[in-house]
Amino acid sequence: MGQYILRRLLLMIPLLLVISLISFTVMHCAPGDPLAMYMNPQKRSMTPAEMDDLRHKLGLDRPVHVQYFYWLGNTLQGNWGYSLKSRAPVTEEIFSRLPNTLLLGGIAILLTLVLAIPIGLISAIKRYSLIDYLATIGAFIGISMPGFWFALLLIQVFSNGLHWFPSVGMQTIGMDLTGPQRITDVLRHLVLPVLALSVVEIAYWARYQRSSLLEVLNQDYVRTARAKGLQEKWVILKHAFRNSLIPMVTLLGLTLPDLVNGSYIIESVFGWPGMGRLGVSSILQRDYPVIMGVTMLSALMVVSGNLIADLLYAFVDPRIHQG
Amino acid sequence: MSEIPIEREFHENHAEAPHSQLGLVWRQFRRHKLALTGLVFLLVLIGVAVLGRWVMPYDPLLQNPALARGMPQSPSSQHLLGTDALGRDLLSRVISGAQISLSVGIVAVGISLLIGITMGSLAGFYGGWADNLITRTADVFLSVPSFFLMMTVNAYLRPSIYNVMVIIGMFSWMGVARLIRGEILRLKEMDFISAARALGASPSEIILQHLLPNALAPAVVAATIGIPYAILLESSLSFLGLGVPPPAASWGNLLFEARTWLNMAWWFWLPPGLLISLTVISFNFVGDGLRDAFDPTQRGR
Repeated sequence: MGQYILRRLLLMIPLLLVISLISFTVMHCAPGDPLAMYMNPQKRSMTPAEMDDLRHKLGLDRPVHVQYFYWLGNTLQGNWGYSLKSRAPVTEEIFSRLPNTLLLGGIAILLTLVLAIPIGLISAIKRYSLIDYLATIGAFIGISMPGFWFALLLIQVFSNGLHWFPSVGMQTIGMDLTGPQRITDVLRHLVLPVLALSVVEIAYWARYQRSSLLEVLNQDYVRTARAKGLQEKWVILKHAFRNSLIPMVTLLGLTLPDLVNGSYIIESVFGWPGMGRLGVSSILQRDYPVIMGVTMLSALMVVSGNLIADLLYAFVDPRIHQG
Repeated sequence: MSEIPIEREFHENHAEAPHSQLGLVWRQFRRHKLALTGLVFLLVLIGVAVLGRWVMPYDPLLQNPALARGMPQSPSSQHLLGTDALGRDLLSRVISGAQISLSVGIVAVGISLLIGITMGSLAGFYGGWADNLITRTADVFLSVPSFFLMMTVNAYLRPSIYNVMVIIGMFSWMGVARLIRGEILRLKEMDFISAARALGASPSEIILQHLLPNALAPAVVAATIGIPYAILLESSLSFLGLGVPPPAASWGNLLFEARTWLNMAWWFWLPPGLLISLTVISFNFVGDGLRDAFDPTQRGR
């Protein structure tokens, strides 16, 4: 097992290198000057000579492969350069926002598990009942709606209409809250983005749990459990349900990239001060040091998410160990 | 069955049961009510998109500032879905959005099928290092933060509808490749392939004439399921201002513009979102229906 983990960790290195190479090349070989945005012809904020000087200082006048190895060397020393926009170190920009993204994503996963697994369970046990049909319809709607449009609906109904929850940011601006009041304030700001982020996941997980349990209920050991006279409640809880969770673990590996992808849109819609919104605004401003940082951190999250899912799978299903 | 007189059964068989493969698929597909409903919706939508200019009441790009006075105008008898803040007719823009979103979805999936089928056939047929290389490449593509890379590439290449199509296609071929690879692996050991080999068919003949036609059904299902996925991606990119560039109206673009007027112009943001959802759900139902229809074990049920 230890060897397997080590091998997988080592395989992550070439993967991350390839990803960094692709995004670096795209940004540096694309037509257009990365500094063009900062030269304002009206205000004459910078003379051409000053621009050349800045370009030289930033290393932008060197060949792309030299710049890449320079970036790589700095990255290995934990230095991602400075944001062109805010002039702050990229690591500081990203890591100050990362906890907010993890908070949003973590609560979204929690909500998904808490809602989807019972829904799928009931759908499977009471197959073809009214509840099952409602859950099926709900799941189809959840899968088909674009996340950002659902977010707009939520804002319109619960924020603009009913005034139940705020729709922008993470805290009420201008109120210096502390202690429990501050926690309540943040929680109120979390409600809508978490719902928008998790609706698709809830739909997928509920469907998956339903079919997983239905499959397990056909297995011989479930028939044996019933044959020995066990109450249906215990057959499902002790035998069927626990085994139906095994394939769900693979879904976790798919959910983490989904949540990373979703965070760009949902954080942008709700003005959530996280890494996703930083990523989108850095792309819109062509702030390439920040883009590189966000790319690498997202890649790391996706890749380690896959690894965690695979490890969990081996952990819950001992048959995988040898394979 | 035994109670039915033989004569009538004979008659029915002639009238009802077509002997072609396609006829069998269609007969099975028809039983799937949701898939049929989805198909009807999609046919209407595609019809409207193809007719385009003939059914649009106005030019979707035509501005009418005097009418709008900087505010979206609510639906009226002249403008059935109202106008946006520049006085452009929203019904025409939604129809033009259908043209753009559908063509992005179809072309992007076409590209992903082309890459996926090529990669999958090569990997499955040749095995060995080709299989290894292709499978590893697919693994890389599966574990990159694809949406963020799509945004970056699109922003740096100057957003255009063609870039959106190519980028979405390039990042979504892996599923098709895996599927085709599996089908080819399964088929290539069968007798009819050995027969083709014995008759001296070249590898390209075997792949194109014997293997791929037999792997067509899962590819068609994958394409049907892939289109809504591509449409969702396009609308998400456009919604962030990193997809189809304005003034063209894709559904995602319309929502990007409508966002500012969320609280006051429901006619602006409701129709594009509903259309995306209905299109996506219809393609999914049709895909489900096709999957069942192609599956011989489902027949006669």
